[in-house]
Amino acid sequence: MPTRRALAALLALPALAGSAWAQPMEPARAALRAAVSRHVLPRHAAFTAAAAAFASATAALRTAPEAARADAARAVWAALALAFQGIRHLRFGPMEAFDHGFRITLFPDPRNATTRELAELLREGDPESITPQAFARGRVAAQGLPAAERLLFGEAAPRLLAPDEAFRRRLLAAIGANLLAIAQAMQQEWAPQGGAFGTELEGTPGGVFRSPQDGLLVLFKSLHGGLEFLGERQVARALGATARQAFPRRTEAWRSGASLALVQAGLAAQAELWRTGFAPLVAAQDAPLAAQVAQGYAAAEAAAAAIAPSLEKAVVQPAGRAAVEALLLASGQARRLLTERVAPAIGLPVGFNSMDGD
Amino acid sequence: MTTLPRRAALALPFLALARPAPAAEAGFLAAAADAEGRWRVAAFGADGAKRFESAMPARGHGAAVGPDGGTAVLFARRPGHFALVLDPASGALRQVVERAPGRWFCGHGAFSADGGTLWASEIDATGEGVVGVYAVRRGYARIGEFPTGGADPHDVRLAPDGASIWVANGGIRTDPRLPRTRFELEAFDSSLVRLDTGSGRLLARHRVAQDASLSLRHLALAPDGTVAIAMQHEGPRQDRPPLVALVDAAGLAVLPGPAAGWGLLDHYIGSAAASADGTLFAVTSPRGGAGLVIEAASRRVRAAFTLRDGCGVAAAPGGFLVTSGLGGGVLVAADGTQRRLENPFLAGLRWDNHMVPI
Repeated sequence: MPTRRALAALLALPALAGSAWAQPMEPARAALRAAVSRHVLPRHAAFTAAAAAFASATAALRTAPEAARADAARAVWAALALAFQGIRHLRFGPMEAFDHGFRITLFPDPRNATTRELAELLREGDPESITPQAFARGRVAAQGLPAAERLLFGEAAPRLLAPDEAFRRRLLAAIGANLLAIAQAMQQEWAPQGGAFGTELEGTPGGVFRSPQDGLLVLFKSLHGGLEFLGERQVARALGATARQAFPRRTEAWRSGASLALVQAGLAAQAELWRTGFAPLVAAQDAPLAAQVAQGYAAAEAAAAAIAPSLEKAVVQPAGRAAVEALLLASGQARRLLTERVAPAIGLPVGFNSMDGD
Repeated sequence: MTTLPRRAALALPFLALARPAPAAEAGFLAAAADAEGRWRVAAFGADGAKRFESAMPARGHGAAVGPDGGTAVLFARRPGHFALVLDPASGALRQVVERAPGRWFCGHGAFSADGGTLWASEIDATGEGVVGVYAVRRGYARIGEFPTGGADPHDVRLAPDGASIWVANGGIRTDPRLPRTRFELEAFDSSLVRLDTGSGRLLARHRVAQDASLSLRHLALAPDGTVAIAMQHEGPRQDRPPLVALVDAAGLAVLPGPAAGWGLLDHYIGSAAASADGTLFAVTSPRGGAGLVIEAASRRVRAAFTLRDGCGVAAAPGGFLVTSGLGGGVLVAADGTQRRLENPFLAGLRWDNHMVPI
């Protein structure tokens, strides 16, 4: 995730492209506004609403450790994780600020920092280390969705109801409050009456983004990066060379069994960004290409829907693996279309070396 | 799947679109795409002036040039189905070498000192690496292969002793049935190996011990035999490891850490080149939109330069020529200052990785 300063430096680079690549500003501005109003803002609102539900469910469980309240917290955790898929690909600006994205979900986590940091917090039992201020300073791995999933669905989940585990419940509620605070901060940054980041994307004098084209470029990278992350990190890394060498526990949410649903929600959200922001722009230049990309997303969504019964189980069964591979093929094809055809069609200065190099 | 039907490769309409130019002056050959997104192979002089431009049936990657300069072999990008044997002066197609059954080209190769043998990096169906051995004077008959001792072999260079080759095993498992999807990104076994060209025997193997998420992919050789290894980092984004190591008689040494400017490269080097006298190396990062000039003797980064989607790099009179995937190219001097090459041909094509001197 590049820093804001790095992004500014990048945008200041000499662009070698000649006038053939330049596009009129107004279509780009219209595309940006459509993507922000019809995709970014509603998806952030949905994430904040889900975070509010999770915060109150975990607070209720802290107040009264009852099985029904734990079940309710589990259900809203799943809803919140799905809602995050709606914005996860938007890895810039508000999500990049204060490491919001990493703090919501540190994934992949090959060093298992989540388990380690959670264990530290539980062992210390120090209320001062789970305040919003403490979470803003560190322990990125213990304050987001994966940490909450371990508490709610992991082996030790029954201990959430134990009388002597008040701090465990307090920690879960602190994570709930933390996620809500992050969601609200990001939503506020995007809000037209707040940070108005969407307006910033359209270009401001002296701003990081100098023109709508700069903002569109960042959204395009989200579109492309979203498919890449989904394919390589959320799906392929669990597949392994053979069914026997598969890694079902490398899926994102094997404890809750939500991994496949997360993938599907991510695809749906990315297709929405395509539809709202880019499809009209591309169709104006090359209608068959726009149709081809739409079919690409539809094929990927259909391939994901054909995976059964879950991503965790599919990777260890021959038929399931074939379905997972079909998803990787479909998402890869859509991604290559974006790199090789869409970017040049709408004059975005993003090259195939950086998007799909060796 | 965007694979090339094998017959299509043989039947491709191959048009050399330009007049041959005298080959006495420095020239460069590279894969490219035109404004319509059609794949190209093209060559130009040190001033960017056109030598030739020809159609490619699929996206190309690296090329090997015979020792007498009279032959160039351009490899398809991995997983590649073909290699094109070209006249580097005119671009005339002499032969299409198809991949062997169960083997896929990885985009790089090298000629023997007498020009009689071509070695190509290839993978098998499981992603393991082999070096395919081709007899040049027998119509590029594939006369054997030997293992590279790792997955994901990429760059190949003939060592100055003429009796061994360096092969970079990128280490990232791929499956040729699922083009461009990478598995096992968090920890993998990447290495640089030296193989005896007669027997295929492993003569030496170098690894970067401190980080299992660095993929050793591209090589630049100085005349004294020093090898610069250009790497790509797949580990956590908050880490910013050095991305270049040098191998000489004393072994492998990673270049110094953070202050050197590795952050500019955004975890990724796409290409590397050595100056003719071997005192400097240049590396490029299309993702970072930047590159570094490295001093071989002091092993220090001497200068940084910026170029959006800059990737192809080769030694040229006055420094290094660097091309961009957005079109055009610059000449970078040893101190990092750059001068844009004002030539409509160079500006009119989008330049892919890699660029080789012809």
